[in-house]
Amino acid sequence: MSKENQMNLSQRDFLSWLLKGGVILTLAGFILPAITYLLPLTRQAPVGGMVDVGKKEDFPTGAGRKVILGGKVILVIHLASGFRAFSATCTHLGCLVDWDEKKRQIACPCHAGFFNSDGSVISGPPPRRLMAYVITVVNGRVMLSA
Amino acid sequence: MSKDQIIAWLGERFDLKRIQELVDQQVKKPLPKNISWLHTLGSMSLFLFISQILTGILLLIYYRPTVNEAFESVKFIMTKPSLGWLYRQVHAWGANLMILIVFLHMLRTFFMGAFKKPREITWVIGALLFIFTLVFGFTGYLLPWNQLAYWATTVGTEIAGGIPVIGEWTKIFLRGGAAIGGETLSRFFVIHVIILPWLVFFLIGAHLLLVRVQGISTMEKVDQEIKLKEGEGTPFFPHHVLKEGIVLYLLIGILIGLSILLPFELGEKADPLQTPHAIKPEWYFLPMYQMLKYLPKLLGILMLAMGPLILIGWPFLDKTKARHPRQRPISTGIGIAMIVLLIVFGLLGHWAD
Repeated sequence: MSKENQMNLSQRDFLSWLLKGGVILTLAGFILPAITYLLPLTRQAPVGGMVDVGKKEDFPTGAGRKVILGGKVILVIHLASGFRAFSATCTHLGCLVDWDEKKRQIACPCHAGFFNSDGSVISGPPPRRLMAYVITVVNGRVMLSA
Repeated sequence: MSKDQIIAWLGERFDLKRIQELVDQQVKKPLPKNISWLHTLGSMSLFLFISQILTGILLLIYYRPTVNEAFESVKFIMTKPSLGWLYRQVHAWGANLMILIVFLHMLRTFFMGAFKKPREITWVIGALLFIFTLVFGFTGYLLPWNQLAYWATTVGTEIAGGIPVIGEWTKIFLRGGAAIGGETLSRFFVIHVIILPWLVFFLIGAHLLLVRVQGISTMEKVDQEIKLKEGEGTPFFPHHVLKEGIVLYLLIGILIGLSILLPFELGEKADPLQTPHAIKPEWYFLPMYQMLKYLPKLLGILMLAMGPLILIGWPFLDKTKARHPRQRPISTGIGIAMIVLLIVFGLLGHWAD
């Protein structure tokens, strides 16, 4: 093979790689932004400070009620000793827990997980206690800290 | 698993040699020497159709076709998800460019006499594709549910109501009720994202099949075309494919450039109680809209209905043998007169109050 032929061959290879690389770059340039567009917008606007979730009378003593705050479900329990608030999402597999008024404990309907009124696990599969939220009553309004 | 193993596995199940032959035949098929940059208008139309499908799918992820949510969801797309604004702009600009490019493709075919025997059916399908592209534009225009869209659609469907006998029924059928509302939005949405894409997809398939089977038209007279032998003419690959590649990249640049420099505004949400001042249709309907103003309602609508029919049936009206535009002065004259009319009425409409 003469020197000239060798030159031509590498030139051809070079162009071929340039073309293939260009096509791959173009496709990547289209697909990658499209994936970022498809990513769900999970970053919620920040909810700061205390949020008013209702009047004190809306939460009868001994009962529990769920409220939605920043896309999350929160279980508010009104005990004789005061208000308590926990994330209503069970730490086992994400079902929503309920306040059992008679047994005075929090129960998960999915796999029989039970929690104390302080959020700690009594029995069942949940691996962790429920996350607690700060809750106070100001001028008759129930305020939840996000 | 190596490449050879995959080929061997497929070889035991399919006649790979025959498939390779068929592919080679298509790839190496020679094109006539007169193939020019103007012959990339067809593939440009196809690129734009594909772009519309892809950006359309992305928009569908967040778009919601209800009266309460349509406007807000488009606003959401334009502000929240990463590059959402770009996908909406490329879709809107792509729609406008597609109508322009398909029309230019049709003009090329008309003036080069490429619609003549034996390619009459290719023309008929092409004319249908142009009409469906316009319907795409009309139905898609309503979907953002802004003031302009709402009232342009009100006027557009009102024109259909002027057709004698079936007009009122047609209007109500299109609107899904007496006025534009949620029912209209649902109807237009289904036409825009389900019916038309598939219809156009299959028509493009048939159009391309005919182009490949019958070959590209030359300037020779009807029945005097010379069949190209292998080794003659311009090879489809790589010569013409390279040209199309260049055009594709230019088109992508133009689409993104226009989207950034001249974005379409969303405007205000549709208000059925408030008609905005000086409502006008999009530029591609403007010449027809302006023409209607000068003619008695019935005559105007009759002429609007004749337009597509003449367009579709043109190969059966113009059956002369010559293809070169200078050798068929009458049809070339009609073609030029039509273009002048469209431009004049379009400009009159643009300047009118």
